Amino acid sequence: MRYLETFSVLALLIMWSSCGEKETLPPQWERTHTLQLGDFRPIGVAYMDSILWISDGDNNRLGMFSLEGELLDLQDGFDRPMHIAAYDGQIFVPEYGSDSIRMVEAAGVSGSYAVADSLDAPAGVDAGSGALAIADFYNHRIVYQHDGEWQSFGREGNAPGEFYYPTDVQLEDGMIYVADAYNNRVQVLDHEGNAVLIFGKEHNMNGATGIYVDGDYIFVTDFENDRLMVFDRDGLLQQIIEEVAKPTDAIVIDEKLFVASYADRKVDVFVLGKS
Amino acid sequence: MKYSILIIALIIGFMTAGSQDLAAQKPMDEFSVMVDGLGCPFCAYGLEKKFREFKGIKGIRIDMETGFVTFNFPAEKQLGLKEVIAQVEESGYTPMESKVERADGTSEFEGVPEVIIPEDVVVSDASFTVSGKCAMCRARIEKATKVLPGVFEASWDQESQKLALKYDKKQISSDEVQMAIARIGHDTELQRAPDKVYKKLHGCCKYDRVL
Repeated sequence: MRYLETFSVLALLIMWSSCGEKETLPPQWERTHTLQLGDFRPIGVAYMDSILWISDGDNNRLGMFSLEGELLDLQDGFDRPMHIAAYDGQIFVPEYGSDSIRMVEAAGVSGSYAVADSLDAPAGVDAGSGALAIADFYNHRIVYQHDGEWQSFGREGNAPGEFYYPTDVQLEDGMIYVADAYNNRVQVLDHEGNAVLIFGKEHNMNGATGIYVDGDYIFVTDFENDRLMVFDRDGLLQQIIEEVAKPTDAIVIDEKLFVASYADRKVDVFVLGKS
Repeated sequence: MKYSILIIALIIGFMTAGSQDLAAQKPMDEFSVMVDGLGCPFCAYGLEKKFREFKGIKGIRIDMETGFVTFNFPAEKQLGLKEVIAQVEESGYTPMESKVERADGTSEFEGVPEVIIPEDVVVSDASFTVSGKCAMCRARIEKATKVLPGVFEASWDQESQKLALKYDKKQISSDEVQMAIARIGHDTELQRAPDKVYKKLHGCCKYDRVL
């Protein structure tokens, strides 16, 4: 009986102390303003030489914008340009329609990237530190090149290391981050193609079409649900940003988060608030 | 004499260029397909790739706002409207109105017939769950329902997953409507779609199965 009394007192004390605890939310991204893109339909975004590059798949072109949203220049003649990437003074442009990767500078197209294998609708590309990764949409795989050696990771499926229409990739800290779109999840691969972290499906994502990794965060566009999901680097959900319409990509520039919305033809800008 | 040679050369040059233009301007049939559910660029551009499998296709355009896919095709190849519609359906999309203006001046049209409710019919309402994920699903579910005899209206809501139906109970039952929807790959409250049909749904339409 004495034990029971002691247990009850302890339970009450635990309940009381937990009620007194303040729930601390992680710092949240707060919207500051919106860049209207006119008739641009944004798919991918990249940043180079103080220019925000935006691919417009519907109109087969790239737009060069200031960070304030002013259209500085246009480059057209692409075949459905998708999730672009900036590296080593070049913008890498995956062309979904012609199964190629083109390289672009401010002055115009500078060349094509020779891929050892045939692609079928490259939807995303990233390059860095002698490596290049491509989300090969209809082949359900990641094509990866490192120091001149080409590899192919994955096949159609939903097991770890398998993909179902991957749409975007990012190389970061020696890992390959993949937006595994219609598996509604993110997969983080090592350089051998092994999935070391999988997350996102538990949050009912519907079309994980774009990914961007920066510092402590992994940003994922949840296309059909009109949301941007913010995860930490362990894949734990930190924030859901709503009121974005069919988002396709995100990028962080000078501590500001830029989120491209395909349906609304706009880019929303956010800053990190205090916790 | 010099001028004469120059003039003759220019005339020959123009004639040659003209004949090349004529050769390039082969008679073309003009196709137009209104596709419902073109909400996602990844899928829409995929549809465009599918059309490129028609060798000789020219000027393909997809208008994401209106859903119209238009292109020209050499008349001599006699591409049929049914082949075009099949290509759209094979890609997972739902053609609503399809037409071709042939180079010889004839035209063909296929569309969903307009439903007129007879005055003596008692219209009943029904609502049931249909599984789906996107605008492509909505288009497929609604078209498969609206073409059923006795169905007057069908509207599917992605968020609630509910299909609202106006129909004539004397012509068709709610269960029969659910069976028809299951046959095109979408599970309903009472009917599970055949696995082989479900597997053929487009990637973005693969909902989580509950039945």
